[in-house]
Amino acid sequence: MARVAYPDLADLKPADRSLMEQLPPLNVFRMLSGTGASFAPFMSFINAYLNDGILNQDLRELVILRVGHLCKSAYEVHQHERVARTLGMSEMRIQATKGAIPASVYNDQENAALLFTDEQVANVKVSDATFTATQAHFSDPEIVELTMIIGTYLMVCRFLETLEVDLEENDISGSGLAEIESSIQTLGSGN
Amino acid sequence: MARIPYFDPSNATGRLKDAIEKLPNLNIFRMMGHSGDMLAKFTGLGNQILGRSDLDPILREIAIVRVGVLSKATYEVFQHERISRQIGMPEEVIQAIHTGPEAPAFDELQRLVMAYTDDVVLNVRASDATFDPLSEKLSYKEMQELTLTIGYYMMVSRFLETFDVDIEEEGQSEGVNMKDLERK
Repeated sequence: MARVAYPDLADLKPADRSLMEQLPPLNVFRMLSGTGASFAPFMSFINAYLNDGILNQDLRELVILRVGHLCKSAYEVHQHERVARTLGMSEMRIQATKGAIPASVYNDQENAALLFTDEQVANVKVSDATFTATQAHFSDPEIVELTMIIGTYLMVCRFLETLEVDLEENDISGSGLAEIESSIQTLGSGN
Repeated sequence: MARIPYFDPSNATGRLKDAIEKLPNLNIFRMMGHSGDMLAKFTGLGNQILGRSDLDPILREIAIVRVGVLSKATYEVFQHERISRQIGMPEEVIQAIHTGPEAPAFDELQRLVMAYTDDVVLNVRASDATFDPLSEKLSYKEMQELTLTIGYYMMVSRFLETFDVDIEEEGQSEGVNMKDLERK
């Protein structure tokens, strides 16, 4: 059970309540709504790379799963395995995010991104060698996005694990990404 | 020196251009211009964390600077020590953040925030030993805000260090003005 209570929908500001009602019914979003002013900007930020990012979607999900395993966040891994499956990723490719990298189920670009992820999670700053190796596969804007995604899931995993956000009894259907996108479009221009 | 060139703001259009014009001329934002619209979203979240949280600003900055210290993120420590001074944090408390939770300059609540920050950064899930005493003193909302803040600045530290973002030259920018954020 979560360490702090989930906010009551009735206590949220109308705009946040409306956002909650449109988002997929996930406990992580319920808990995030408790941050008040940060809730809508948080959702808007994650939508920017989930739906409007420049990185390939499979690659993005591999990186997110890797961060989830490194942080031992069962909730994060569970949700993003579902997203990965919805995108059509094979079970072998999903499960290999738990294992040693480089892995033969990934192409060179994916292995480079996962090595970059491991190093950034562990050391904050990646080495010159890893940075240069990553540049062989990605443009500068792609490395910027990759870095922001890795950091975001370090944040998300801490929020999930420390507040002990509960897994839902039933999985939502689909990836949930389209619902996130359409809910963000109803927010004011400030978000 | 930064590992990749800073984004050239004269190439910005649309929402990115608007975002850059509103932000202080700090190298972190110059670097993040490469992310396009994500810059506005990223700073949108950061502005709420800094300007609109219930969490006491001194406690918030203690946590942020501590994340920077643990991450060896010089730029992040530099900018947030500046903010800490702006909001009146005593110099001995700023220095104590570099020492650790047991430093005598902290009051009890500050010490709990330091210990909690260390635990969340190092172990992902804070233990009962750091979570429980703090959650007796802070509201649920403040606990949620603090946890999000720690994670957000872990992201910031990685961004800064991985791209080797340079501390600004003398006179380039006064940094983030907390009064501007709180007015928005």
